[in-house]
Amino acid sequence: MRARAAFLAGAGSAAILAIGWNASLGLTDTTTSSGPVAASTSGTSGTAPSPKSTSAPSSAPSDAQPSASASTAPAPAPAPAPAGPADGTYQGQAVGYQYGTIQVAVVISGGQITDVQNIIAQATHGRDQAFPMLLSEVLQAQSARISNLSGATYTTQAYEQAVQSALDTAGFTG
Amino acid sequence: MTENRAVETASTDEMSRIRRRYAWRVRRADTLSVIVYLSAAIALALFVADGGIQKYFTAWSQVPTGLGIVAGLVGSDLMLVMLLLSARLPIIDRTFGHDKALAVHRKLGKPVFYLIIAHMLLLLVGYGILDGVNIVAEAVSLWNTVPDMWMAFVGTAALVAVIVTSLVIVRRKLAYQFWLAVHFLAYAAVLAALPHQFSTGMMFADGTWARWYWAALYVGTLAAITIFRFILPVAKSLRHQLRVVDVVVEAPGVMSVVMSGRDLHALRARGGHFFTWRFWTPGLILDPHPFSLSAAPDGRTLRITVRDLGKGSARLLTLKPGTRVSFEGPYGLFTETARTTSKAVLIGAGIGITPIRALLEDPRMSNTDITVILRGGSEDEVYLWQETYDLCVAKDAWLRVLVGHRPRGVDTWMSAEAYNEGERLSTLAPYIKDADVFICGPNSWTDLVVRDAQHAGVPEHHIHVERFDF
Repeated sequence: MRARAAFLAGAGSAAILAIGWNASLGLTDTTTSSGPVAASTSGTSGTAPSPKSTSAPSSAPSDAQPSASASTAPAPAPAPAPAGPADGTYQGQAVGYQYGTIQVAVVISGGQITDVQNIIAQATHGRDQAFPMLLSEVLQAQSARISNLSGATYTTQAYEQAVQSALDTAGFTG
Repeated sequence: MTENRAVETASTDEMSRIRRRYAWRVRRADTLSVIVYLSAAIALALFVADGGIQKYFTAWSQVPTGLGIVAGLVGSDLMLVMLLLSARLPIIDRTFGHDKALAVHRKLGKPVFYLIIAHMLLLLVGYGILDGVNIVAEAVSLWNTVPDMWMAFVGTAALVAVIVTSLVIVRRKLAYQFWLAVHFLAYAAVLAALPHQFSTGMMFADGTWARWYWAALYVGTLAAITIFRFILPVAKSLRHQLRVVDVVVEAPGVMSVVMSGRDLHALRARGGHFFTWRFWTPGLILDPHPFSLSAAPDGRTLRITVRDLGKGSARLLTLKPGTRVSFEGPYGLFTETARTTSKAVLIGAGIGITPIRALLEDPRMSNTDITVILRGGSEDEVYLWQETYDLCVAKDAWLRVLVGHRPRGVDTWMSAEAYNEGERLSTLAPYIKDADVFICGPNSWTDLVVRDAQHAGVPEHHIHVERFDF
C-alpha cells in the first residue's frame, strides 16, 4: 500500500510536470511569433514573454534596429528648426528593464506628439496600469521628460527611454 | 458448544470490521500523502508551464531568479500543508491522529523556513545581477518601488521570529500564552506575504488560471483554519453548554472532574479521545488544558481525571461545580477506532492510566483478548485502580500491575520487582505480537515501552501512543 502510494505520488508528479512542460512549449511558440516584431498596434502586456527575459537589452540588438514605419522616412534634408519632423508614426528601440521590455512608436502630427503607441509594453508587478498615465504625461509634456510616477520608478524610466528613442528616430526636439 | 461457536462468529465479524476500517484508514492516509506530493508538483508545474525553464535556466545570470521563484512556490505550498496539519481537520485527525499530524507540522517547519528565506535571498541576488546592484540596494529598491513588497519583507521578518521562538518554546516550554501569540504572528506573516504573490509574482498575473488555483489554495486553507479551529469549537461549546457537575478527589493531588451538558452524544466522543478544556473561572480561563477523557462518554457526562502537575493543574483542584466549560475536541486517534487487530494490550503509567481506563470501557472493546498493564511508583499512584479492576473483570481482561520504582542502572519501564522476576512484555502479554498496543504515560517511559514492543516484534502500525507531558 505504501509503495503504491509512493508510486502514485511519483508518477502523478511526473505527469503534472510533463503537462506543465508541454504548456510551456505552446507558450514559447506564441511568444516567438508575436515577439519584438514591429506591429503598430498597442502591445502585448498580459501573456507576453518573460519580463526578465534575456532578450532585448537596452543596448539595442542590431537585428531589432527599428525603422520608421508607415508613411515617412526621416528626411535627410537639414530641417529648419521650428518646422520639426513630418507627420507620421516613428518607432523607437526596444528598452529592456527590470520588469520587462518597452518599445513604443510616437505619432507626430503638426509638430506635436499626438499619441504614443505601445508596441511592447511589459511591466510585471502589476505596473502595466502605469502606461495610460505615462502616456498622458508624455502628451502633456510634449517630451520624454516626465515626472516620476510613484511606485513605478523603473517603469517610468524605461518608458522615458523608449519614448526618447522614438523621438530621436523622428528627429523631434520639442 | 453452540455458545462457543456464537462467540467465534462474533469475533470473526469483529475482525473483518476492524480490518476493513483499518484498510480504509491506510487508503485515506495514502491519498492525503499523495495529494501533498502532487500539490508540490503542481506548484513546480505552474513555474514550468509559465516558461520558467526557458526563461531562467538558459542563462546563468537568470538561474538565481529561477531558483528563487521555485523555492517560493514550493515553500508556500508546504507552508499551507503545515497550516492544514494544525487546523484540526477532522479527516486528518481521524486518519493520522492529532499528535502525528502535529509532529509532521513541526517537521515541516524548518524546511519551509529555509525555502522562504532562500526565495527572498535568491531573488535579491537574481534581481541584483540584472540591475547591477548588490542585494542590499536591491532590497531597498524593492521595498521602495514595488507595491506590497514591504509587506512581504515584514512577513518574512515575522516568520523568522515565529520559527526562532518556536524552537525556543520546544526546548524551554514557554508559557502557553506566549506560544499562542507566536502562532498568531505566523498567521499574520502568511497574510502579509500574500499580496506580493499576486501583484508582483508574474506567474499569477491577472487572467491566468494559475492565479485562480493559487488563490483557491489560500482561501481554502484560511477557510479551513477559521472553521475548524475557531468557529466549530465555539459553536460546539455554545451548543453543548458544558458545566462542571462534580469534583471527586481520587488520590492526594488527583481528582476527577465530571461535566455534563446538552446533546453530548452528538460529540461522538469515545474513550481515549482528548479535548482542550477551558474552565470559566478566574485564573483558568486563559489557560486551556488538554486532557483525555478518563471514562467512556455515556452521552450525559464527560469525565477527566487530572493530577497536580503544572501551575494550571494545581488550580484545577479548586474547581467548583457549576463552572462553565468550553472546549475543543474530541481529538486524537487513541481510541478503539485505531485498532488494526481484534486483540489489544493496554499499558498505562500513573495519570496515563486514565485514557487507558476510558479506552477499556469503550463498548466496542469486547469479544477480544485484552491485557491491561498498569504501572505506578507506589500503590497510591495506580490511579483509578478500582474502576479499572472492575472493568477488567467485566470484560474478562487480563490485568497486570507493576508497582514500585525502576531497578537501578537498568533502562526499563518496568518496576524493579517485575524486572528482577524476569517479566518482559512477552511474558506479561504473550500474544502481544498479534495485538494492538496502546501506550500512555510520560514521554521517556513511553519511549521505553515502545522500544520493548518493537523488540517483541510488534509491527509499527500496531503501536498507538498518547504522550502525557506537561
